[in-house]
Amino acid sequence: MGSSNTEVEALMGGEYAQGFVTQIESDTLPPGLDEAVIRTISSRKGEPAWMLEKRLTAYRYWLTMREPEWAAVRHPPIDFQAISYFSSPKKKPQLASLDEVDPELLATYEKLGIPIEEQKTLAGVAVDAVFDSVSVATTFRETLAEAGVIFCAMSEAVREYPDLVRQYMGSVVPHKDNFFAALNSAVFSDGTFVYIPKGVSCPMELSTYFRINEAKTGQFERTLIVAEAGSRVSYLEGCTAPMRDENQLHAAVVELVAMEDARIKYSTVQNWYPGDDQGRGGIYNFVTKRGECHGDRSHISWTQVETGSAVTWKYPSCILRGKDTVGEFYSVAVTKGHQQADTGTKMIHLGENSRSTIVSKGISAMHGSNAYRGLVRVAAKAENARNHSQCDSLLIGDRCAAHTFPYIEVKNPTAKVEHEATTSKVSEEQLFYCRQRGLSQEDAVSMIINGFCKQVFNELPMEFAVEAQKLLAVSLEGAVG
Amino acid sequence: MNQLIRHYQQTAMRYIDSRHGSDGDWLTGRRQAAVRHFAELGFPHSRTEAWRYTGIEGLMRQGFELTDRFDAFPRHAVMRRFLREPTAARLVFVDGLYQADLSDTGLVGVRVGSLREAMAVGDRQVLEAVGSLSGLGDHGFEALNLAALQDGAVIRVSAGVTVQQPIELLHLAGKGATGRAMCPRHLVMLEADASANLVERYLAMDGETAYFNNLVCEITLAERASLVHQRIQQESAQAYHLCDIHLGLQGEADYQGVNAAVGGAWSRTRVHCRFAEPGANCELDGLYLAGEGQLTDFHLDLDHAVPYCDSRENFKGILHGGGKAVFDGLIQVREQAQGSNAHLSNANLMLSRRAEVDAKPQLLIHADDVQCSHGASIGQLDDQAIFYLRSRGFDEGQARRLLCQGFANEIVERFQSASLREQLSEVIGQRLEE
Repeated sequence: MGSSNTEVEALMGGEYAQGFVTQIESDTLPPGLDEAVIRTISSRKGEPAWMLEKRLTAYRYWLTMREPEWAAVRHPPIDFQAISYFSSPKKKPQLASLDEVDPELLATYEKLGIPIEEQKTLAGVAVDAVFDSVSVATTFRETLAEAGVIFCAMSEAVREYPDLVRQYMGSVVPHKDNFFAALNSAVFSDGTFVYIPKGVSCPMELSTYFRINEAKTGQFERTLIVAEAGSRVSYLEGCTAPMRDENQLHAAVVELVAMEDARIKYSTVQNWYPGDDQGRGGIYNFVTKRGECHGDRSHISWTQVETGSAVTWKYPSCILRGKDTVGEFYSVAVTKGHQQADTGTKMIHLGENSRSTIVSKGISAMHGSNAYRGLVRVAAKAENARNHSQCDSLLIGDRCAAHTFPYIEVKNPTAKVEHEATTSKVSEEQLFYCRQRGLSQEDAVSMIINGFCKQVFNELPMEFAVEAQKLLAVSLEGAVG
Repeated sequence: MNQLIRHYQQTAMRYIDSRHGSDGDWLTGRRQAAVRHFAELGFPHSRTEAWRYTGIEGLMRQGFELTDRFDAFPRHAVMRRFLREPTAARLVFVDGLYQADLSDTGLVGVRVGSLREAMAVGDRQVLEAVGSLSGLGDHGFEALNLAALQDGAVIRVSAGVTVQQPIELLHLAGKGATGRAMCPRHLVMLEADASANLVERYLAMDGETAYFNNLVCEITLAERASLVHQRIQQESAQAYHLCDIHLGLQGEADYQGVNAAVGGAWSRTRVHCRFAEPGANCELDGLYLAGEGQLTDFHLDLDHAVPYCDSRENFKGILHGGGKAVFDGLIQVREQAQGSNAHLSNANLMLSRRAEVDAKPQLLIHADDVQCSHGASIGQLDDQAIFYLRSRGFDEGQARRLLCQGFANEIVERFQSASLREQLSEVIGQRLEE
């Protein structure tokens, strides 16, 4: 579009803002994976025997599996023996007060723009920060505890609330689910555990920030959110990583369980390092996210803004088991440089009157490749199921790609299922109109793209919506010159 | 499975031997290559992405022979099934084999004949067109078609010639087809600025014969050529029908295809359209009706390989009884294909408890200056519309049939031939009575 190459190149200089490495002494296992590594992870975390057994079962099953090849992404084969499966900051921070956290760590969060300190006093968002493999700080625990909400690191939950973890972990995403879920079940390091008791509306937004810092490490976090009958929770997740030449693996598992009338809103702003403009480095983001609307009238909503990672492979899904359950999926995925994303959702309708909405907006720029892959399945018993899916793709530049692969399987005649998809570039007429009103080319494109994504941004909690818009603008700098 | 593949490999080799001397070395070589290709591909299975919803177990259980055999029908029984409008030419196939005495081929500027004749005289020009678009085959069955191809139509319209009246291709299957795989292959070539109208129908002489129609159709349209292609699949209730249509469109060529699949126990039609030069247009419409014990599958594969081509697809299905429908519509726009317009729509009406629909529209876009969209919907008749009609004095059954007819009419009306429109409406009416 309009502007000259030099301008574009200048803008391309505005690279990954979170790409610094923090020099913190860390305790890292040497690369490699075998049963001994799993035993070490488990013992370092002081886990009970049943947890180790779970891990080993998953590991043995993983050995029999093959890496999936069906996604519309290309990357060199991953050497699972070259990854270190555990890394933790050496000075274990004392959780009693944030003042005791390694100041360098705090500085990191400040650089990231995560105002742990500030939020403690102002914003009223409880934050759990996961640094490489270990959860380092959880804020607002006391306030939450008063309401009966459990919000803590997964490793702590395994020790403190073994019954809950044992009951729900793996109930939505069993270790046999897929290759990366099996790997995660074997080696998961840490993550977040949230439990909202019956009838409680969580008094504040819960938030976790994930960061991979150490070189050659993989991050395998595990998140579990259980919302008991009539409860409500909104959870936000953000991710960053430093710039490195080699690819790093991130294979997380997120499980949500919503009981009767419960409501879970899960928002993600994913901004892992995407690699440089030659396609070197970047995070491989292979994530399994799934929620089960177990009880009647429960509601799970996934919102994601995906701007980072070299390769993304992620399908936040809903199993709509109860009657009158609602599943929602709102997604904006941006790929530029050599980024590839294969993302979408599955809506499995099992209960009567279950409803689902899918809104997916893909933006591809430069050499980026973006695929929506979704499944809407209406089982024979799901009377009056309703689904509407809308997938729009915007193409910027003539070397990018956008794909749409929706699967629709209906076995009940009372179902109403609709799917629509469009693919086009930013319309010349719209641009012309904006330019005529005095907007620069860059501003006009940015405005049109924001409008394109509005439907999804509207679903994000307010603080995140602002962040997401900024992130989008930064991500597409240079791509829309 | 390996045993099965070996079995059919050997059967195909025996068939090739049986044709010794009537094919010419060139075709024999191609047939043998196709057998080898088949042995590599094997039969599709549920893990083959394009076949995940379309099982072939029933067909494999039943098995099929590769032989040439047919039963003669009384002339009047065949004539009753002719297209009612005047035709420019007619090619009649019985049990997969061309019947010269029932056909009519005297046309100026158009060459119409059978593939078997071309094989017998070793017509290189025709034979080299075999596989020019399909290659050795994209799946095992298509390779088997080439290995054991028996006959087919050859239609070549000379440059600048316009054939106003329809050219009719009529396939009839009777008892002689029992247990057989028929492997016809049609070659349609329109030279520059030619235009024609093709009516292709698959009918059964009785409703219960079990056979396998495994056909391939290769259609080439040269610059500015235009073809209207009306197809109706109304095979016997026990039949398996598999059809691969390959379209090759040169600059500014125009293809208008309308398909109706109402018969057969199991039917699958794939249309693969490759745009070879800019400015071409492809329109496909389709209607499928699947009832008790039926599976109907449509696979569309639109390959925008060059800039400035347009495609539009509109497919509608009605499912009743235990009917199952599969729809897969892929629009692919390659890197250099700027200025492509492609729109696909698929709507399904589910009338019964045991019906099933698996729809999978796909967009694969590698260029930015494009306008592409697809839509798919699955639903049922609108209760309010039924209520409205009932308040006007229709009974429930009438109201439902009327609404279904209305749903189907959008496609039925795409048939240019009035008698085909009438026949289709009749079939739909009868089926919905059930």
